[in-house]
Amino acid sequence: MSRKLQRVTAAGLALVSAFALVACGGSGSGDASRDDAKEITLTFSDDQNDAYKTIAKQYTKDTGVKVNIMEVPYADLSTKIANAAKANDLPDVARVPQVNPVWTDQLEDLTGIAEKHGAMKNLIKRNPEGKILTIASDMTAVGLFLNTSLFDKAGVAYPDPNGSWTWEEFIDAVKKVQAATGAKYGMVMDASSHRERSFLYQFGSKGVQQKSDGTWALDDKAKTALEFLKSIDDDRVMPKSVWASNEDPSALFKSGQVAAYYSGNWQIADFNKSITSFKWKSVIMPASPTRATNVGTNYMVALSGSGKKFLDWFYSRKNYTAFCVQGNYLPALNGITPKYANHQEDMQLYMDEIKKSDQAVLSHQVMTQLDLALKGSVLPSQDPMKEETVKYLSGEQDVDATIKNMNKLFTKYYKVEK
Amino acid sequence: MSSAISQAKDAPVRSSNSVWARIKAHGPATIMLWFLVICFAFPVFWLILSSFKGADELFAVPMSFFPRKWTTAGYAEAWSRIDFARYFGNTAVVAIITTVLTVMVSAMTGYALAKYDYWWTRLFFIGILLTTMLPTEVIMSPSFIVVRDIGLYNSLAGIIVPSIITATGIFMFRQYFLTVPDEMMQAARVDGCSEMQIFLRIMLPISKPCIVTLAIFSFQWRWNDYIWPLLILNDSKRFTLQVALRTLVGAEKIDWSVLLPASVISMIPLVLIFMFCQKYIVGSDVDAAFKG
Amino acid sequence: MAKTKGRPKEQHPNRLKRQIAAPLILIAPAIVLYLIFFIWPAAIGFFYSFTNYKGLSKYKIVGLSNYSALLADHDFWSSLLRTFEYIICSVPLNVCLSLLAAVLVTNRKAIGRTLARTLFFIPWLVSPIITGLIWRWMFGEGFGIVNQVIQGFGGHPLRWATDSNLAFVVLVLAGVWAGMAFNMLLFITALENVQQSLYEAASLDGANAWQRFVHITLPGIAPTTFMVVLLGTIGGIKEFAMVQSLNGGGPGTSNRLVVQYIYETGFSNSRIGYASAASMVLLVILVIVSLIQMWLNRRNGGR
Repeated sequence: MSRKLQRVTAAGLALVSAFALVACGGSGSGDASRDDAKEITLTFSDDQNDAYKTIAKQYTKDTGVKVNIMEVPYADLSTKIANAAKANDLPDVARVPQVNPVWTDQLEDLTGIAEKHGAMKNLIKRNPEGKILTIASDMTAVGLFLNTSLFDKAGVAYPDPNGSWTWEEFIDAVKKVQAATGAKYGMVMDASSHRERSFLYQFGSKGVQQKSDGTWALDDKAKTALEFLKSIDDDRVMPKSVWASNEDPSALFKSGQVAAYYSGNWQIADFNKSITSFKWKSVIMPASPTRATNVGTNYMVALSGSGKKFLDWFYSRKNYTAFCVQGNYLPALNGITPKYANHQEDMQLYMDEIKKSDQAVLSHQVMTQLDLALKGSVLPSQDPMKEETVKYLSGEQDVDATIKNMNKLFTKYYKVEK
Repeated sequence: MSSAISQAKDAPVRSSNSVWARIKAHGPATIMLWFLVICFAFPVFWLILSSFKGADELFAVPMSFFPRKWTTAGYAEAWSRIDFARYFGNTAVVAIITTVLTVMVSAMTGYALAKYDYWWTRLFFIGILLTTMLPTEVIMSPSFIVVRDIGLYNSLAGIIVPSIITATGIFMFRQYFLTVPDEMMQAARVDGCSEMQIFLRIMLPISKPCIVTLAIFSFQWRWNDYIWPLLILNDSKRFTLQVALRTLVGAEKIDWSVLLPASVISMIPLVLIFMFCQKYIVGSDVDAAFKG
Repeated sequence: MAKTKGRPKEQHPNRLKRQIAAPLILIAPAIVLYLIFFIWPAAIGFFYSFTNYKGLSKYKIVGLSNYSALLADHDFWSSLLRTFEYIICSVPLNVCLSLLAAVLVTNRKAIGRTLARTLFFIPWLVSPIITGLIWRWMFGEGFGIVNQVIQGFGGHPLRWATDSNLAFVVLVLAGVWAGMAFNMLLFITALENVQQSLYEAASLDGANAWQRFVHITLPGIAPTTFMVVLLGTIGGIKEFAMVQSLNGGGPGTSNRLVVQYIYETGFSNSRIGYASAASMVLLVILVIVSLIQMWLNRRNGGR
């Protein structure tokens, strides 16, 4: 036994020295300030259809620069990059959900690239010095899916891309579908403040706006919208569990038991693959009376000269179009018209909705947040809207208290801290 | 295991009477055991069944218990999307090295805390208990700064060294050695053994069940580690399994039909290791040590 | 003690010296690691708790204002309360089930023990996030198998996700399910360490199985039971990843446990200073809990 033990101890010591060596060899990564690196690092998450991996390979093929890809789980991407900044080990290029003051001072100026390739104006925000530091990687938009098998079975009509319907008409329609087909729920809606915003816009609200005294507040139309939301979150039209406890609305829709799903274009690629038992379609969203959607985006940032070179290449017409097609992404550059392999008509509908949407609110949420982040605020990843809405829907507080809390919390949330 | 089977073999099946006697002897315990097993195994069974359903069937209504159409498409896609061989390798290296070190440090510390009852060992014991108390998620920000400042950022050592010390391991060994009679130490001292010899030659061997148990625990903890490898390593080729697994959970949606098979695959090595190790947990030589 | 006194005097100092050297050598690695990876970060965290640190290089020292804000923070206290409710429900259930399982798989009369042991163990091998996903599915309100079964028997589907108490039940069940094997293995080790001769003697004295269990097994495994309860309590306070993926502390924030609260404040909301203050308060509470448990254990004659 003791000899065996000696061997174990020896092995243990060998291991200790081995990893001590690894420790020494592991440190000292690339210098981020080089302009002509033979190797760059690209950090991203949520790689739809491997679009980022494909474009990285293409870059190596075209330029000979090796691309180190760092795919990070979405939920921890911001934490990861903030920590990398603390260790002075930022990537050359990153696709991020928001910029963080921890590393904004290290961003390259992308003004030239944005102007050269025609980045969409409503997704551009200049920093206080007038520079463009981020360009949208792609665009997402809120939209409505219908289970057309259920609608057709019930004989209920829905508008074509040139038509229109109000929220009351839409809810009547899904109730009819429910009655005729026995569908479990009329609709589901992602529990997200992003989707909720476009819902508010469609009732004529302008969302959370800054008032003359510097505070942030919702308008009266928002109250109407919230009351309407509460009236349909009744476990008949909408299942309460989605907002109250994060039940997966996409799974509910995929079950074929829900007539409509208020979500966004990123679902298309997945639905294309995983829905086979019924027919579905993107349709125009209700307007009561405002036609509106809410766009979302992630941002490309360069943290070194060679990263900037990559972005110049990435946003060139040919490469960016190929990227959009591969990943089923909506383009964030003007004049790009990708031909999508699947569900071209659905993607087209989204592009039309964006054009016809009330432009004042279209990118209001993301641009407000980007502006604050560029001015030095550390924005929490969750804004106060969802949490307060959940409290309202679950009966913890009434609508006036909800709006009052939201106003108070948004004023705090949107405060620029120096 | 062996005793149950040998007992069954030994019992001669001569008449229905003796069969009845056997049922009476084995029945209640067996039924209770397997009732409990079924309760505990069901969720995993359900996970495995679901992983063989196609993306369209996962959320179909009415729900199917067994897949209507067994498909391994999800497994194929999971295997092609995640480079399992690489991540298994990375994770195994981290898990094995950390486990060896954890067991060594825990055994030494736990023994000292159990058998040398001074004010400073007691103080350290309380201090150690505190280490488990603050969860990684809570103290992550300062810990990262420490790891960076001692130069372990972006190295395997950066994930291994901070994980070596676990209060559970030290606690386990301490509680285990408390049950070992002090007389054994006294007897060894009388025989002229030094304190270190007592630990290495007598105490460590008899703590084999504890060693195996902690080894399994430690291996599982490190196998399922997520946030620390993600933050410390800056090369996705060196990422560990859970990090790769979680890239399947996106911002707005989860790709269930790939995530489920990927989860099942990620568990297989752990299950195999456990099945291989569990025969060593049977502590027959513990009795021998006490009796001898 | 009497023995030591009886020894020749000249041997005494030597022995004492040796006994300080040996434990010091044995715990030295742990002490070093402990100082570097616990005391140092904890000190940094303690410092942060007096600042408005948000991850930026610029921050202000704000004195005790984080702590005073925390005292008035309803969300913090309610998450703490829910955490204690979680522990009070899950720890005893976990101890009973894991002890039962350990007794059954070490019972020579039960058939198929090795296979059973492996099957018991598999839930523990499942990573916390997958655990949360599995249970969220089984108890899904619309399409979960549990509600399907209830409806199959003619019952009404239960509101597992939207009723905060039912959601709490699911949380406890999932936690016990995931943690049981860990404790079971500790109990198995302890049970096999109870001296067989005691059982033999008791059998000769005519003690039945239950009496043997109560008078020999339970005292024999007492140190392990103490450890299981203490580790279970600490583990309950630390529960995070599983809750996160099970229901995110829902419905609403009604089942949000304290670590999730701290994580959300500190990382999602970047209020590291404030979250550090909450961590320090949590640490103090944890110290008190474990001191009480150790004191109880000592009073009952354990160590």
